[in-house]
Amino acid sequence: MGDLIRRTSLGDEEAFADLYDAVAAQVYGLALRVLRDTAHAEEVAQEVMLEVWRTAGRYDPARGRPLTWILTLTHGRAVDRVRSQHSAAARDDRAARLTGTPFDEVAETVVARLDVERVRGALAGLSEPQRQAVTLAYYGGYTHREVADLLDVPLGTVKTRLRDGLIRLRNTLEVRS
Amino acid sequence: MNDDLHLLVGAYAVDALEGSERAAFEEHLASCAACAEELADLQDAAAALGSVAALAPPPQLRTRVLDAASQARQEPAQTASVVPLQRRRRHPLAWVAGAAAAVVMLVAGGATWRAISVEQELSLLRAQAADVTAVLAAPDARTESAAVAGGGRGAVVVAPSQERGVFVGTSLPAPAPDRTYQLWLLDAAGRATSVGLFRPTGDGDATVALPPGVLDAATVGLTVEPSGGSRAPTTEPVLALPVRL
Repeated sequence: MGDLIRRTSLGDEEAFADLYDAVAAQVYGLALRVLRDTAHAEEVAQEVMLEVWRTAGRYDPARGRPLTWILTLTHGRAVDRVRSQHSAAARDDRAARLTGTPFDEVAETVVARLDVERVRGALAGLSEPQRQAVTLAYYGGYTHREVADLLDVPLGTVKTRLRDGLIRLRNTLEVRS
Repeated sequence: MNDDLHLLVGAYAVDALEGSERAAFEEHLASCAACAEELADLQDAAAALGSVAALAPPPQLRTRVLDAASQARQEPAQTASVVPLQRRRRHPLAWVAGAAAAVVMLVAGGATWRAISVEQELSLLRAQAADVTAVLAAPDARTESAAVAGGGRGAVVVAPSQERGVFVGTSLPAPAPDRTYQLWLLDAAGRATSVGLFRPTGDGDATVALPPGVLDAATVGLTVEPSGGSRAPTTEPVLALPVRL
């Protein structure tokens, strides 16, 4: 995928089409997960892919894997949009729907079942408070203050749970090994 | 290290910071290597959560994105591009007919480049440079060269023993900002297969590795195409060199 980004940065539209095919499901799926609205998710996916096209030359392999770069862009844009557009009522609705397993829809996806099982297993390895904080912030798009309000715990506790939870996830997945 | 700010790295990795807190963390991040390293790890973990949400988008999104991209200007890369083998050469390659002299110059150029190239370009470009050097140094290498319409010269070196070839351009004029050079392999019936796009260096030099298919090609062609390239040539070739094995 790094090579596709390099060729994309040179204006190679075929390489960009291949890159699109490699990541579009992840980009769209994550946007949809956060936004819960197919029209918004499509718009975010389009914005992200065009940003990848425009800024491929700035991608620095030393600073992270290609998919991490692209999904970090995706999450940031999805969260910006959810915060600018959702009313408080919509957010409450979102919180209610998030209390279930975050993998309800995953069986439908194109991702290899094995990867899903790996991530599910890694999430199961977190403490319940860590899992709640990470899930609400990442899939729900909530700020750490909102997570603190929703869980009725001090802000400092949420900061710690988010950080410790991600460190444990990272260690379980060994995603950089 | 500021401990309070450092603790925010997890919240930042999942975009849970807003406003002044976000700005304060980003300012801290710029000067804290430990935070930057931890952030990269945590973003990988977050991306793993993101990747399992994958769901195929509607097919029409692909068309919309690719169409929009072909209209959108790209921001310049931080390091320039196609084949830096020649980019950092100290002296412009004086055009010489025949492969033998070109071999010497390019190998010397490769050595200079290797010595001063940036770390992260190395592995990729070493492989490319090794290919080019192997082709040019092969005992069975054959060269065809001709003037390029519009300026400069182009040569194709093909080495059957290496199962590939090399295109070498010198003194090529820079294409207009919305145009690019595109190389093609043409079979005996004139059907064209794209090899790739390139921009010459500031000196007008270009070196492009040609795939094994060059051994079956009748001609190597060079056209000037709209940025992003074309599926098939849309302009008269500025260069067409027969491939004789």
